[in-house]
Amino acid sequence: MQILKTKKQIMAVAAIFIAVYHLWIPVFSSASLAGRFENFFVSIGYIGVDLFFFLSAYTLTLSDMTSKWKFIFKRFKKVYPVFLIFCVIALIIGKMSLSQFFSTAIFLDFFKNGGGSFLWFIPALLLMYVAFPYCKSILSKYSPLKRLAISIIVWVTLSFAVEYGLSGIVDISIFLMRIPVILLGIFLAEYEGLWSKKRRLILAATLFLPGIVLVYQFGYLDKLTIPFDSIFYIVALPCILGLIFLLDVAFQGVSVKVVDILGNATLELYCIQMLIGSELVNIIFSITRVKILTNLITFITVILLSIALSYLRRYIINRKVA
Amino acid sequence: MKKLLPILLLLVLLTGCFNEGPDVTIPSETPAPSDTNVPSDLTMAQIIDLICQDVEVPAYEAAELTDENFEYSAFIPYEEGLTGYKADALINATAHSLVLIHSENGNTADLAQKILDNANPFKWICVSAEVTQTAYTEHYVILVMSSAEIVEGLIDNFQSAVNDGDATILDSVSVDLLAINSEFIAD
Repeated sequence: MQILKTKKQIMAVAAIFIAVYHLWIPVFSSASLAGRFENFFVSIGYIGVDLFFFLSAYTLTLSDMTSKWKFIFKRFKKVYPVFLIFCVIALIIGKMSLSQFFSTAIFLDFFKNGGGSFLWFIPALLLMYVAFPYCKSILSKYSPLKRLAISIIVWVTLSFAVEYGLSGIVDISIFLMRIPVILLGIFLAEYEGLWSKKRRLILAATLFLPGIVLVYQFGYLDKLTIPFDSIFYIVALPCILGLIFLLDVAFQGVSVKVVDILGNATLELYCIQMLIGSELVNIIFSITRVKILTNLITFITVILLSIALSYLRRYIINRKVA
Repeated sequence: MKKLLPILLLLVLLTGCFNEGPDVTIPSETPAPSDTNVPSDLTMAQIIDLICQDVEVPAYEAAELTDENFEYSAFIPYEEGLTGYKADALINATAHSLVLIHSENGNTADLAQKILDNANPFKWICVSAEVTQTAYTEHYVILVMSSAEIVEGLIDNFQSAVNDGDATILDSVSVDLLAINSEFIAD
């Protein structure tokens, strides 16, 4: 696998998946074949989040964690200020109350409302950054098989506790159901630079097509919710893994400037679409009245804004360092 | 073949551009209701337009619920004698859903309560509806999940829009527990 080299490009694709899920207005009539395909594609855009978790876990596994606090601080410094700025803007423009702001900023809202919390993915990601070095240090004492067994037992226990014991108090199932994809990322990081293109393509074909059928049945037509409310995310694992192999091969040795730039602005893209995406779509649609045109203008606007903000963030960071 | 592919893709896109599909309503364009008595022969899509009259709802598309998507939108299984329409926001980033159900069986009180009990304001994954509320008349049930202001406006319009006798409004459920407490104190 060559994920360390293709990471940015895969991130760009994942970000587009998420943006399509959030902002795409279905163009075709839902009764038509094209409409059904379109609805399916839009509805499974959530797998973009799984791609991000996989990539994060993969790269974290290969990161230097000699000093746990230094590692956590470095990650927080990169992500939390952006999160906080967007929360402040949300407060200023009236998207959240003052109490909601504080609750969101300290991640309390994420624990309480899970996926319904503003920019929930960021607290989830930061939670992973905090837990990762400690889990790694504890589990490193055991053999790989024991590590896997312990991880699965802890995950299942936590999931049952949240689903049945803490229902109504804590709702982080949206994150807990992503732990298997995180574990896959950790496991596959061992194979960085080892698998040939042919092997990855065979794996991609073997996993992706049956995976799509599984997602269609249990993640789209009839969402699986037993034994956990959000278990349908796990059904998407073969499809996600297949897609990762496919994208890893497709982007190997290929550099597309626009994709590379977008890969650096994924954090901003996510934040912008959640902050103003909904209003933007409504305004553009009320002017154009044409769905496809609205989609095009929305995506171009959101992507350009994200890139501009990303440049600004990097400029500020570089100036501080200098 | 390679040259044909982009042309075919472009054609598909253009078809999309000119494909009107189901009617999309932008809130400011909803038809004006007749003063007090709404004609009873209005379609459910037209009733939805009346319910949305003068309320700042996001752009929506009224569509009939099928056996397949009935439970996902209405939070009760489909049964004989029920006709449902949904008018959700066009995109997933907007937590807004309006469902109007017509029942020939006259069990609307039960339906409204069941819908309210089952309704999931987190069904959008990354956003959640602030308030969930249901109301019913003799033959109609409405479910609204949206911001507090929109829910209030739509529920207010419900009785006059369906023109089906007095409407009973069930207690709203708020995602923010503080809001429920403050309402309780105000009561």
